[in-house]
Amino acid sequence: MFKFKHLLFALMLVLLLAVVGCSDDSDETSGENNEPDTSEEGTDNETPEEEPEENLEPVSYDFFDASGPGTDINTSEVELGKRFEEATGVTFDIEHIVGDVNQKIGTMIASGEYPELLNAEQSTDAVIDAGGFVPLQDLIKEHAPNLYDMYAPYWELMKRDDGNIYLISSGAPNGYARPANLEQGAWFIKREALAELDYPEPRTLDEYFAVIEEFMAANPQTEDGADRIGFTALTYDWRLFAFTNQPNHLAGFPNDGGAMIDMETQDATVYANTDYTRDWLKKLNEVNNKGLFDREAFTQNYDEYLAKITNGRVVGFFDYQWQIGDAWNKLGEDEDPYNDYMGFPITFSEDIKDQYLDPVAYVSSPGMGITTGTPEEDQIRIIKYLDHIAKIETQKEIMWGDEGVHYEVSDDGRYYRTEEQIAMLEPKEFRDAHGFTYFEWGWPRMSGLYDDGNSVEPRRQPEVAALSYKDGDKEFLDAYGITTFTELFAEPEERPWFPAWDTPVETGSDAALYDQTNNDLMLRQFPKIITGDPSEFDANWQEYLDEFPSDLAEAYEEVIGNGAKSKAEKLAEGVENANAE
Amino acid sequence: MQAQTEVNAPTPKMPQRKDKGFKAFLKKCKDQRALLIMTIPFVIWVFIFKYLPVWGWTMAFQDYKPARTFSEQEWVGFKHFLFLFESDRFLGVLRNTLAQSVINMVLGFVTAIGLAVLINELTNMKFKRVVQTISYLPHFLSWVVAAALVSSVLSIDGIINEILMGLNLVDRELLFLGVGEWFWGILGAAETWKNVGWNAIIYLAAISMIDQEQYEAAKIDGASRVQRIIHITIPGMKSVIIVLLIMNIGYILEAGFEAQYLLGNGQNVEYSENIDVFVIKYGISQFNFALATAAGMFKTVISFVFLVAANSLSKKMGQGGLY
Amino acid sequence: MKKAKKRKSGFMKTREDVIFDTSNIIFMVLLCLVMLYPFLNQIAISVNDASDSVRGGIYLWPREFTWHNYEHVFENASVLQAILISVLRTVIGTGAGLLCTAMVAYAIAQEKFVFKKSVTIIFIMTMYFNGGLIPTFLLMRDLNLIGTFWVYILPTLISAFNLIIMRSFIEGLPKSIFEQARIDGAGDFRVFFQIVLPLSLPVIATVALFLAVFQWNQWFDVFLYNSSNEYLTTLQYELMKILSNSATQTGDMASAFANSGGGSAEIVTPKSIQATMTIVASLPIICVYPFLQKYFVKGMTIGAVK
Repeated sequence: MFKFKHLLFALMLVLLLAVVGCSDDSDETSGENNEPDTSEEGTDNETPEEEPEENLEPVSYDFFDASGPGTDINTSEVELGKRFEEATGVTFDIEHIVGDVNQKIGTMIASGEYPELLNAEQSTDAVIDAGGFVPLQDLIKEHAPNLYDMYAPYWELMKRDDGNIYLISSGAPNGYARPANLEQGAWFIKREALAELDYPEPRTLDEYFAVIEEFMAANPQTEDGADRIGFTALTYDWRLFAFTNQPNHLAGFPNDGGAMIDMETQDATVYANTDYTRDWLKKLNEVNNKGLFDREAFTQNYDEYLAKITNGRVVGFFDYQWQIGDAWNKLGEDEDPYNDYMGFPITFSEDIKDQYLDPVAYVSSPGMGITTGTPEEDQIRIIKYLDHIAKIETQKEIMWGDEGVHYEVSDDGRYYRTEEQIAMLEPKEFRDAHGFTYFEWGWPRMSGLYDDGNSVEPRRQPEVAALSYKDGDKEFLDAYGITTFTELFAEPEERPWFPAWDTPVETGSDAALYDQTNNDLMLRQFPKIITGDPSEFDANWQEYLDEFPSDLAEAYEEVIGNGAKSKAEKLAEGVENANAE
Repeated sequence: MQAQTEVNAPTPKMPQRKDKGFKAFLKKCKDQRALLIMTIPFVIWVFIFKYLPVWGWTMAFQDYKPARTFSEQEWVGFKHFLFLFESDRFLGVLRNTLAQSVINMVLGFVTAIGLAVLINELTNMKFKRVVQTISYLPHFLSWVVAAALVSSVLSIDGIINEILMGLNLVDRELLFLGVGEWFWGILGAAETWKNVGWNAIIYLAAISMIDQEQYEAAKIDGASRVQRIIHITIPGMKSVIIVLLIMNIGYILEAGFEAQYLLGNGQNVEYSENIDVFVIKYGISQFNFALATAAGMFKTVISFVFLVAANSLSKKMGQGGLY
Repeated sequence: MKKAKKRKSGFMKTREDVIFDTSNIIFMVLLCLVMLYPFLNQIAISVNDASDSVRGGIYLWPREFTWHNYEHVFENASVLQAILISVLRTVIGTGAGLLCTAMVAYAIAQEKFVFKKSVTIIFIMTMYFNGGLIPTFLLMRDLNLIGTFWVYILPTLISAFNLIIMRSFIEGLPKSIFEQARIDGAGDFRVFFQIVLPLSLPVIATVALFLAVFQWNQWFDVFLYNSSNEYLTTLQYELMKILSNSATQTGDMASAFANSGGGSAEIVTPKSIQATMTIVASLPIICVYPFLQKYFVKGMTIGAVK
């Protein structure tokens, strides 16, 4: 009896499972049938195209933006969005990602239900793989002349292996505008130390740490009596890259990811197992032995790291400027110029040319794409909207604002901002309400210079940057005989493949695995190597090398190297084509 | 799937008693129709919402791509399991998972039961309620906040180092999170701090179901405070303790991941990284949902083994079981 | 109850009692300090100027007082809407969950129930597996639950953990009560509603608390199923959104106007928003406990309820 009822129960459940299971299957197949349907409908509907009239009927589409956080709005809620609506009739409901990108996009792919416009960030390849994006090349050529002009030099680069273009990424370079302030990596030293040591200009790693050592010897404590920290590092979670990238920069390479790209052959070489990394670790080991290396460098979290820098205990550190924005702002708030930091382009030796400033860079992925299931009529509306944004007038409207309101034009055609305009544009509330914050990145956009020579980004325009320097800043600019803080840095060399890290790497491949595996290895071994006794350095380094995933590294080098080569080729091709037209 | 194998086993015996058994069974069902009405809708519910998605386990044997239909998926056998088990780190990761979860479990039980007993012994009602509420506050901190606090308390200029230095117990500040061997302990302490009040709630509820007359009787017999705790309060919670214990033993491979992820760093990674963290790094963040599924299946199998073992052990010891 | 208390005070306190009580009280006070500190710390950070908080070192008292962090959270129009949804899902989710859990728990607590063991096992097993993110998502889609409020309630109706807890409490009730009721001719539903529920108040309060906290804190299901449906997002989700937003705000400022000083603009940082969020999100739910406490802080005499 007892056993029997169990059986009956199980039978019932199996039956239930089968019933629901079957209905589930049929559902899935019917879902699939939908896709060809819509595309057929699309081809039927070709008639409206012959109408010469622009279709300005109000319509709203969904735009899911996984590229980063932001306020979710409908574009009609901001001034710029309203103007674009008047011109095109289109508005977008923008939704930004909040949680994990892969999980969210994974559910979209699995269900086949996409928003009309999508930026899938790190899951972009998966969406393309799944056939989630529609090819854009014909749409752009037919309906978006401005967009085509802007991206023409990069046309070949935008194509995937199947010859289709699925994405429009933000930032099509047009000439090089040198940043006035540091935006990327540099070796920072506290200005207090620089002033006390009579404005030294360290060039090599040895000189850099000599400055720190000299200052620390004389000033072991801050005025408040806290112990100073000679050199700290950010190694928390994914931010570890800012630490492990250091040898690459010291060797005179820009941030191409985990590999150095040879200028001649465009071969990629992983540097994590080379003498560059070894020499850098050796130096840090030596620095640690002198007590200048932050004991907590490997245990502190991001907040603690920022707090240390803000409190003025840290004499030197390497980082990318955008990672220390909060600390930088806080330090800049007061009138004391000596608690701020100044960045230097440090290399292993004098004869290495530094490459800390990013060269002209075109990143083909991620970007925005129109998804399958969007009727062709709507695809056209969307691409026309993007085309409107790609007009030079619109571009200036988005980046600079309105002439006479947000910026002025000098007699010789140079754009500048008055102090009042800078002050007006400073509050985020103002920039939000106008819509600058929503359109300045993510949409089709050029970068570098307009054809009239003005900088696309106001902050890179020397006239704007100069206004923002305070007296304290000028003291240091004068002492080093420079006019902007980036003047200490070498001009970037032309690297058409830059950045090589945007090469598509197949998920689950050895190349993809290298990144994660090597990161884990460095995370585990570098602290040991650096904090170990100098006499054990060689043994520790050897232990690391023994564990180094050489096979995976080779796969990685091949993928990235090939990516760089094809990128350089395609770019050359694209530029030729663009010139020919 | 597990359900079927378990319930299917008795089949051979069935035919002889079929007729008699079936009638009696029907009659019983009729008598208990109220109970059936109470449960059947929810059994259907549990099958739809919990059992149906288990088809997803097939992913573990595929190079799963979300866009493909079931028939288009590429089958790869045990590839993902092998990746997991053959990884150099797997043994270490498994060791960390077990150690963390055992430490958390033991600490969790002892402290929560202890706290519940002590709170129960408070005689001032108001104070008792205040303590109870305050003790469960840290449960509401997200791990991000909790981990930040733990990290700051343990940092070189944190309060613990200040006390140690002040008492001259150490001559140099200790780098707590930089010593791998200490990580399990730190994690256990952090978990306890965060959840002891929350975990105690259930025992407090159990204590309040104890008949007060027992305490009165014991007092009259001259039992001391401690004797009353040992002979009345603890036995009164026994059934709840056992049920929770068995359930938690099933969670032997679930040590959480947030705290480990947030407090983990290069110097303690050999002790902090557990299965869940590993799966996040090599699964989800690589768009490899199959690995996560394979790891989930592995954990489920281990869970069932431990659960069944704990349950039968408990029954053998005459303590009743979970089922 | 009153009676029991009076009788208790009638006993003399022994020396042992005094020592026990004193050390217990001292221990509890220390414990409270340790447990209370993080909240006071988060309150202090939440009312401290965000830019100043970057320096660290805020413990129990703000250095530069401001309401700006709270203004920043509440000026977001969707927050008020989200509070309503959070309250609704907490109330409905707890109520429905409680009733369903108690009913099944009652059934599987009955020795005579034919499916006692099968139903128990079927529920227990669900604690140790799940089908995974994507299959669950597809199920919700096929059930047409995506974009609805019910996706918060239906999938989480019964948690096996709560069910087992409740079952063991009900099993602990004296059998004589049930027998007496049945002899009086009461059916299972009557026994359940009129005898078992009132007797199980402590465990009902416990499970209610578990359910309420669970529902209140959920944000992942909003993220998966309802993120594009702005009328159905919950407080936790909106706060997550504000939090992830705060991370870019300053970076954005820095890149647009580096070195311009930024003195006048009040900013928010992830740290300050995190603290504000901790307070905003947890205060309401923390307040639930004291109300539920009265159901089990006192202890009860089963005899008295009979």
